[in-house]
Amino acid sequence: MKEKKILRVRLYYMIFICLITLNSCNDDLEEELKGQLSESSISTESDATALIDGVYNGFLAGGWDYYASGELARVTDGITDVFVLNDSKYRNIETYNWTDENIASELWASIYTVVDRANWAILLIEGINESAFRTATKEQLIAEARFLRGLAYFDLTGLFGDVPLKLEPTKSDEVGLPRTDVNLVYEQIEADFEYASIHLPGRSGTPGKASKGAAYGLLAKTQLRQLKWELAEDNIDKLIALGEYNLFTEDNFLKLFYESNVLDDEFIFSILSLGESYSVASNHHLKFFTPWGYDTGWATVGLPVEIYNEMEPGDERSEVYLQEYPYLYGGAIKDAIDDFGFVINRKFGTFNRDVTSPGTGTSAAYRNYGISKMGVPVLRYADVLLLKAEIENELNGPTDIAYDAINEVRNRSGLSDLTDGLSKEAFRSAVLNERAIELAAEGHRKDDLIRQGVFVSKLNQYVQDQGYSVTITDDYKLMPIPRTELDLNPNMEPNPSNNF
Amino acid sequence: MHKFLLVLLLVFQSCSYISNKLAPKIGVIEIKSVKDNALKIKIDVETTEGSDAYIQYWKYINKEKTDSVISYSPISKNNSLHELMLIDVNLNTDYNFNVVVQKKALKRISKTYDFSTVEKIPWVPYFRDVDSISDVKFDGYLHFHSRQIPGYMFITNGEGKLASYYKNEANFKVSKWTHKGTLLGILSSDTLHFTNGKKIIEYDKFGNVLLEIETGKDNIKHSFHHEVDLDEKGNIMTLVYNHKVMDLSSVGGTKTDTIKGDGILVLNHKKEIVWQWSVFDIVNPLDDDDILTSKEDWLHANALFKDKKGDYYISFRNISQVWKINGKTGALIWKLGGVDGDFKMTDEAVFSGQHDIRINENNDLVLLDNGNLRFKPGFERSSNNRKLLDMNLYSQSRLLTLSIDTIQMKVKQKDIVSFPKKYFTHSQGSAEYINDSLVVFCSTNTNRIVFTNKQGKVLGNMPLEYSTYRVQYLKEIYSTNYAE
Repeated sequence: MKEKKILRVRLYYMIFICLITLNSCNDDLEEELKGQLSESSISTESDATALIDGVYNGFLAGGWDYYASGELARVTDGITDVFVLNDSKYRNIETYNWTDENIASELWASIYTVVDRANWAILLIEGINESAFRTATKEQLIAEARFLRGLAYFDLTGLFGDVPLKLEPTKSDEVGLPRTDVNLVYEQIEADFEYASIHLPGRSGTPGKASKGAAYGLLAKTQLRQLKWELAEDNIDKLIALGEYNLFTEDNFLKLFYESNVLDDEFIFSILSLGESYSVASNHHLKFFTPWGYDTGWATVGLPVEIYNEMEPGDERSEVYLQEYPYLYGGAIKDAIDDFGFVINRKFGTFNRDVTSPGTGTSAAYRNYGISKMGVPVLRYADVLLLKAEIENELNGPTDIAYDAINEVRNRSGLSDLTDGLSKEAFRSAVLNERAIELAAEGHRKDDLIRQGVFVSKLNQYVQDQGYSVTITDDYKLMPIPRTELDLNPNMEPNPSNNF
Repeated sequence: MHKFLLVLLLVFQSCSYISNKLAPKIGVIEIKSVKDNALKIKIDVETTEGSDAYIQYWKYINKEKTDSVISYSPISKNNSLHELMLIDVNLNTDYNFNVVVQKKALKRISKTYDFSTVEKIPWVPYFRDVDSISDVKFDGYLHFHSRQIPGYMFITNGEGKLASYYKNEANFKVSKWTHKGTLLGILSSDTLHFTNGKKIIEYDKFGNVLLEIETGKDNIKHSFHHEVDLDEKGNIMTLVYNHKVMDLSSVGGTKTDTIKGDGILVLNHKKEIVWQWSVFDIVNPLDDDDILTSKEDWLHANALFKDKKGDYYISFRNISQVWKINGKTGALIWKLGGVDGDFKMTDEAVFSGQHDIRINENNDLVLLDNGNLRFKPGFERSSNNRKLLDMNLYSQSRLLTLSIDTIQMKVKQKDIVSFPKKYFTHSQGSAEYINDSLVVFCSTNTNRIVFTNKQGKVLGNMPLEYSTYRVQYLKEIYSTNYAE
């Protein structure tokens, strides 16, 4: 009994001793949380540049959409009288049979991808410390993103009119925004181009990068859409005054579009690609403007006969607009009008790849099949000079300044000066015609027709010439809002063309 | 009896008190972002001397927060200051975490803390398309890269979410997740053709550079292409170009013509050459009737594999052939495929323009048969008049598993997964089984990672911003058996 008691006492005693010991040999650590995560881990100039590269990338959409593969050209010039589309895939666009409301839905998605990337770039680059920038300034990179956003909205408004104006990056699956009045969108586009014109450097040897000149030019084009002639002239003059651009006169007009000349200083802004391989960084442009029998092109498209017949004798641009063409597989020369009902427009053909695949015939056509480093011109100097002539005429009549500008373009193609003493109306018509021939398939005709108030009359004439049974109205100025957008976004309103 | 229970209770209480007191302690826990990497979270932890520490962290996968997925960081052992890093987190996610510290059999878990990851990193060229992979889910990860400047290596999880990335100012032409849990890449500063580069880089899983080997430095004359991996000893093995100057006047060339052929180079981590091999040791270029047209990239090796016995397998695209090379002597053991292979093959086993060869655990040869008819054995490459489009119009890329009978010298197909024509890749690419019912196919030419079932039916695809040379399936990024 006594022993048990002693044992028990010892046990308590031992536990007590243990606890005392444990308490005394404590290490002095106290748990405590410090620090926090930074909002964004982007901090270097190369990340900022990568963001901007991602925006540029969007303009080629993997090589198959937006500016690549002739997609944008098909819904700009393609719906007008300078670009005829006989491909089954695009036949409905050509014949104004727009019952498929998703006829331009891929473009809508591609362009908004660019807008979103530009918005992300602007937001994130603004958050980077100034000291991180060495080769470019922070403002310059933001200006580049804003320029590209401006161009994306310029294209969106041209196609659809009022569009949702998003200036913040998409952060969640929030319900879509309603459409913004096109005039408010234009205000934003102008603000973006103005910022770009202030902060961007000059041309720096490549038209593939946004620049001061490109910003002036696209700002002028945005103002012309709103018929702000004086403001537009001011910006066109600033562009010309930079002295960085001139017409390509080193060789014939066709060679301006050769792969070796993508950096020529006639190009103010182009969407360029590296043409790394068939699937990487190639714009596939060369496959979508010419028929197979000429150069393995995939497109039965070209210049309508009516415009071709308006060309003056001796116009060297007929080097590009080809009626009699050498057949791909050799043999006799063939006639494009007999074969296709149009003239081949070879601004963007396989044989223009004089760098990667020089020559003609099948061997050149199959070498690096479908790969091209050819540029997609967005703005070139001839376009600027013709706009100068047009604006000057609108403001002051056909002055010497107006004549000089149009004649510079005409003389380049071996034509004599425009007839002297034209009336304002006749001069206006002459410029419009010159632009049609000079810029066919480059995507400017729709704006030209609308700006001059002849969209309906000219296109009804075209419809009659082509024998399509449709009457063109103002409703054809805007493409249908994609059905997908209307279904997903309760705030989205349709265009008149949604009811065709 | 009551007294006895009281004593027992006291003993228990004091035991847990004792173990709590004896368990290693936790001091300051410091959480911070990693410069230039939104998906690496650094957590430094102060503990009792000689402890092991890791982080357990979890995200809820339903709104009610009743269901979660738990992960563990790599472990830091036997230290008092632990620099831990989370290398498997997703964007735009809220996480909770504890620090777990253990010493011998005693463990302590910290309070629960939380952090959120950044919403989006649009400067990193991987954009997950939720809709395109909504029907694909698997255990494990994929590793691939982005072939652009700057270059990125990616690891995505079984839902296509980015789990980790590694950036380099140059362009990753080739990348590989190695059996030692490191990442190897061949780098180049151009965006030109093919997978040629002048630098090999190795990172650990945290993104630290372990090794850089450059052409023109440390007595390394070769440039690297198409393949880089670690062998069983941890040495770097890669494909290289060898240039041979020889007299080709007998076939219409010059007396000092240069032929660019392939070789194997094995280097240790001191950058010393351990073993090398050249195609010129095996075959004479003059035996090739087309040598004048093919001399600039003679046989075009594009994959290298070393088996358990130490022998090499090398894939030559231009001749649609796989060679087995003795790993010690460099002698040719056999040639499989092409026009002069040593094996009889069934028609279905014939491959053309193949990539990504390996020997699986059953000793079968597994490869991506690109199905590019330009390299089909017997195809006359001079017939330029055929439309390229038409030539490969019906071509399909396939994942081939071939059994090799070296007694009868016969090869036959054991398993074929034919991918849809839409995703045909005339060059590059890879394909492998993720599990019995899921195959991953890298269609380089269409910028897609494609998932199919065994029948080749598409289950989903991941669109890529820039192409990748291959896609590699990883069961895990690191073992977490210390936490289980």
